[in-house]
Amino acid sequence: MTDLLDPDAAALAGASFGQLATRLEGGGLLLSSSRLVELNCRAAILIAPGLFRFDLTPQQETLGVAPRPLGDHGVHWEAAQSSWDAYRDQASRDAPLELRGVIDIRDDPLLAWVHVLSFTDRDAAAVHFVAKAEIKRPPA
Amino acid sequence: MQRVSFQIPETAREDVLDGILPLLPSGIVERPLGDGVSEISSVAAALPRAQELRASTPVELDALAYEDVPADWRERRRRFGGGAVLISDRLVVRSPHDPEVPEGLMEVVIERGASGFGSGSHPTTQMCLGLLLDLEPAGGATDLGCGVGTLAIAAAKLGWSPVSGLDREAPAIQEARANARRNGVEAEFGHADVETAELPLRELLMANAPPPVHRVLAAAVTPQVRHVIVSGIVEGEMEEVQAAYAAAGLHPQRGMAADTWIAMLLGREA
Repeated sequence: MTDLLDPDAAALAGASFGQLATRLEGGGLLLSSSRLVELNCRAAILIAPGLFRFDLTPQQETLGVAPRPLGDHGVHWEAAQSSWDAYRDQASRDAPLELRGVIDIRDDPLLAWVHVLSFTDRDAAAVHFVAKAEIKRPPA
Repeated sequence: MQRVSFQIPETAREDVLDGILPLLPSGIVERPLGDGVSEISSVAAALPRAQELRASTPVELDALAYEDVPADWRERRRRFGGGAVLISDRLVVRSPHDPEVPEGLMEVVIERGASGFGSGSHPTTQMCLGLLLDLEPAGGATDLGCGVGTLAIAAAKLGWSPVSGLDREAPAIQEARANARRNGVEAEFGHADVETAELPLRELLMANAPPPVHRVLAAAVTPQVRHVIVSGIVEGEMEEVQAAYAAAGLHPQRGMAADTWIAMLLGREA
């Protein structure tokens, strides 16, 4: 049976954009990557093979967030919209985007926590993302 | 820098992206070409070879081509576009770096500057413009919380007159004035807090602003105001905002929603 929390498979899946992956102490998978993405480009920021891919599309005034399930199981994500849409609060543009996900694998569900910091470089019309994901089994 | 581009059926987009996005770290831009076909492109200093791209996807990549392109995003934007937004197949909001629009389409050219709101990328701006396009110009228009002037400039281009805008962000007002000149329209922009300022009420009010602004505006409207375009509110806030305007005799005539955002066109009952 495939180990969906295998850090070697995750590092290989994200090798072209320098994704790092390691096993978490106590079990689980930690992914991290950083990237400069031009405005209006959709880029894969994190890949957890067999679980999900996390795509972001930076735009001038909002951030397109597209988590893509990679597998037959459902993945349910939750986030406060204020964490990625800075329409209301200029200050929130510096706040991290945080999503919590439940990956519905029968008899072996997983929890995912994605955390993305972004810094806009207006001269370059690009956004620098620093992202990490922790994927774990729920506590017994 | 190099650019790779190819065409795919829109229905296969996500399956294609599953294969190619991990190979293209700088990401992709999708451009609809019509007839259910999209062009996918990516720009980077080093790109995967054609064989790698073809092997990664379940569908044929038509018109696959590589070309050298400038490193400066402005030059690439002028050539390929990518920052423009089409509203209701009639109006394009674009930056000065995007290509001019084809004949027959109206355009609003917006420089956003450092932090002003109104590039056209936000769903609330797009919905307000969509509702504005549905109205026959009949008098003046005021854009409250105007940001860089997008709605006011569009209203002026459509024939509303006089047109003005207010915003509490002074840099945005400077950009709005420059944008009015850039678009060749007459519109006055003033630096003021909409929640406390004296409001220039006209036949059309546009307020892409949070609920506190709508409360103030609803209490201030006079019979001269025939329509209000309301946005900047989310689902849970609609009833309260709607009730405030109903008390002033303005009722929903059309509504739009995108993500969790709401936009409404309010008018006086005939």
